[in-house]
Amino acid sequence: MNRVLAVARLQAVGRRDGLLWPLVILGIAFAVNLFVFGSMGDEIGDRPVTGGLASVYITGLAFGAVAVAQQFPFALGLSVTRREFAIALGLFTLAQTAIYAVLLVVLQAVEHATDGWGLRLRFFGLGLIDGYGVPTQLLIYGAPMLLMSLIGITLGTVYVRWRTNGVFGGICAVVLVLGLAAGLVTKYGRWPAVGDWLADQSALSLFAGWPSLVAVLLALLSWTALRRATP
Amino acid sequence: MTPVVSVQDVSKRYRSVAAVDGVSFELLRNGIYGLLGRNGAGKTTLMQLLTGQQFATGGTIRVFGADPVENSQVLKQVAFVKESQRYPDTFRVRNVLLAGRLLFPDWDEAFARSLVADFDLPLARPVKKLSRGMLSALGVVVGLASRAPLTFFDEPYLGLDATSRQLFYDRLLADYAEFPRTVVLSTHLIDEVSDLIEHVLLIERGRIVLDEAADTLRGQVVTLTGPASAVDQLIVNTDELHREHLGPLTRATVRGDVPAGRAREAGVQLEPVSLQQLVVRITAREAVS
Repeated sequence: MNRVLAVARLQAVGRRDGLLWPLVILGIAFAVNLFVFGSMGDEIGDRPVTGGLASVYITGLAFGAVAVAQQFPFALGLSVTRREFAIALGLFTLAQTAIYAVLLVVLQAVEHATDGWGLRLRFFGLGLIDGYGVPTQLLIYGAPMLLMSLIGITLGTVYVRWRTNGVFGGICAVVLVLGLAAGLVTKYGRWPAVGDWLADQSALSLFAGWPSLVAVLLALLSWTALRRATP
Repeated sequence: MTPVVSVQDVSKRYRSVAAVDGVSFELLRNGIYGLLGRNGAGKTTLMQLLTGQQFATGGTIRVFGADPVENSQVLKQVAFVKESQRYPDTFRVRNVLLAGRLLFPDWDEAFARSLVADFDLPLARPVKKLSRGMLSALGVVVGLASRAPLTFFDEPYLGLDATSRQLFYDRLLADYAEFPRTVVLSTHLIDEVSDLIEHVLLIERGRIVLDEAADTLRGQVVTLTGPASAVDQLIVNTDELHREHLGPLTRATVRGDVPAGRAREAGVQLEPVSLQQLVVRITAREAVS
């Protein structure tokens, strides 16, 4: 366990600069939004929604990929086992997800309490979660973060196992499968049914349940790739 | 003495190529081994197999009595310093030392700091901004300060100037005297390390072609220079490695016992062969056969 915690700590060391950047970008995006909507004054329509939040989730993906591609060869070079590395990365990813979820829920609550920073601006809030309690809110903010991290980690493990060809091959396969699925849905005219299914999902299952399920599948896939990978 | 590493009939194949081909040997506790061989002979692959970084296609490997693959109890006693070691982009020299301190149970922080000072390494500099020589020095610092009971150095000197290489050899020898362990040194600069090495493992095309104590080896291989007939008579019971002709004289390098007295009488001059020449002769012959 000592070694697992040591590797997790090295992940944190490696990401110290990186942990700050998404927050800086988020802060700038937020400041720009405040400025723009502040200067619009009364012209603001009904509850504007911005996409600023996406930057946090995209950095989750990027750091997941880097965490494997750069830390895996380093860790194995220092006599760490693949299993220790994977457990440490899992712990680190969960901790990172929890930190972001708490941060976003708090900011969202502040936004709610100040009626959108006095501007009726919706930057951190998602609207559809207003009726839920804090634990559910944490899940709804956290699960997509976990999913994005796992997509990054999966890309990273495919890279360390099968290098560049593996990554491009994998992306091609995913595009093919999704394209084929979309084509079949179109051919049989089932898009309304898909729409109904999505509309029937609660915010909890749509934003927390399904993303968590996919994240778990990706974690299993990553471990399968990593256990025979060489630095 | 108990073997620290025991390898039996181990192979590593990549499709049609056998990087390591049915290798068997043992490494004993406390000794400095020279793992020698030409480029692509299989040295690095062999060390990757012993440290669980590569998976063998056949044979059994025992390190401290157990299979090293995914074995934390074994691997934490093993340090593998390689020229191609990769570091995370954001890591600074001091972060790498932290990693060593966290991961190697026998790590000596004071020793690490003194080595950093010896090699003039800037603690705050990002690893990716280090020069080739500094990068090698960092690997050497980690390998020495780890005090791992089994330490591999895979061509650790790349880009290191002669002074720094001497510093490495001096520190290694001094620390080894105080804290004996098993050290495997893979290198092309054979002459430089020939005084350091206690045992030679020579690998050629994935096979071990020589596994001998360095002292035994030094006495075994000689060069004879003299008239061809006299040389031929003296080397009948030896293994001829090389022969060249210098005008009327023949110069032969052989492995085996050559009676010095008879050589003197026959006017044949005997010369010892350096470890480096010996390795060149043996590998050249293996390449022909």
